[in-house]
Amino acid sequence: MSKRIRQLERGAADLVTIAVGLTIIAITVIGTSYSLLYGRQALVHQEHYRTALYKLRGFMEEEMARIKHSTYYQNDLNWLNQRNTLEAFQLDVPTDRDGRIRETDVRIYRDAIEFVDVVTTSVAPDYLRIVGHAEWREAALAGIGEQDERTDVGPARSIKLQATFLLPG
Amino acid sequence: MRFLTRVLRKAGLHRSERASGFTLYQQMIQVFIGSAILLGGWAAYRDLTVQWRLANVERQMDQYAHSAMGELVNTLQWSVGAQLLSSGRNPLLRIAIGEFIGENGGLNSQEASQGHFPYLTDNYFTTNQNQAGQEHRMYGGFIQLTHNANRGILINNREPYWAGREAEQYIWRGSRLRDPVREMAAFDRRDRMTVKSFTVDFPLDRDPALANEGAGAGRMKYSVMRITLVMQYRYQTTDWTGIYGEDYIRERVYETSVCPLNHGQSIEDNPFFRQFIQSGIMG
Repeated sequence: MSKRIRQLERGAADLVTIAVGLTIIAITVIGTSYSLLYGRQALVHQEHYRTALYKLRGFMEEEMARIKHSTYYQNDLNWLNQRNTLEAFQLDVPTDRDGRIRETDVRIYRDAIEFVDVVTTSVAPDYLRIVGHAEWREAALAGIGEQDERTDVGPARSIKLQATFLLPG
Repeated sequence: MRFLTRVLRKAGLHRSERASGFTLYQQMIQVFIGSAILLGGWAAYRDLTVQWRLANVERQMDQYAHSAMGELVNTLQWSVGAQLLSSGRNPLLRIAIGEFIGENGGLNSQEASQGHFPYLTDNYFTTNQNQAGQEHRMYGGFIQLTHNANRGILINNREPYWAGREAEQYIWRGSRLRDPVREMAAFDRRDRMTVKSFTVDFPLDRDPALANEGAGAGRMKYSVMRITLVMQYRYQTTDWTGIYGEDYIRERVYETSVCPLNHGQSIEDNPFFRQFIQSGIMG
């Protein structure tokens, strides 16, 4: 090796420097990508939560309206005392997420309507109580937060809402 | 190879393995590695920014729909009735807002001193309160609810305050273009959302119990309003070198139902019910 080339190579990056540099870059890239995916997933979960929340409260309003404004349902004790489930509802739409359909089905139902009677009053019942539930399992994006590797299904979520109301008139 | 050797020899180089400092093979490998790094870096940066834009607009859509749902539920919940002037994909709803004096501590009063109902009403009920047979104990009047695909939900033909009217919080297709010099230019004209459809309907319309309700069927049918908001965002990349796709469409559907507390027959002396529904003007 000529003297001139040795002069050129003095102070240049050697194998160890390059390996250390590559490691640092790899850590940065992995960290950034993970943050992006984690944030994305958190956002998607939040969207699902809000969609389910409004669907659930809408379902409860409909059920309350049935009881308040329909004599048929008011007199149907069987209907009042049994759990009522809404038909399957999806939290995502087909054009969501670049056309990739991740079916996130939510199960929305209410418990039996409770007739609350306060013993110190002469009214019976004093008011009615409805308790609604929304339950679904999140899809795990990019393997983050994955609980079952085979089914690609993430954590379970649920919302419970409660409302009390009076019959009109 | 012999030709290459001859050319190198003419240039004063006797071996191709050791040209001036770097060999030809080294140069080729370095160019290959360098171009791979540049191409990969560019692709990663490009895709990261696209994903960032998509996530940002999706967050905006979600936030907007969340505000819209909350505000519309509140407004419809405290209304005393609504008239659907036109239905379909672009409904125009005339909502009667009234406050029974002292109700809810005056929280939904439009008078600033008593409450904070945020929209102007036409004071229908207030102006008629001295007419014979029209006496009532309410304030309020009508507001109009409609939407524009490129501006979102409109109340009284204006973007309501919660839609970021003052702060330009949401970027619509109908929004003014941002000044790339003085304002944040990270988002361009493609980063804009639209309302694909906004519908109001009555979910108890097909309830099997309606057939058994007799005269009360209408009351039951119109006791619940369902609002559905479909928001869409489309991002089309202009370059042809898209790696993960060139046309992104994101869509969100939000839906909820409202059974107004002040529904016509839930309360006594509902002037909207008395003057519009009972009189046969609408129903």
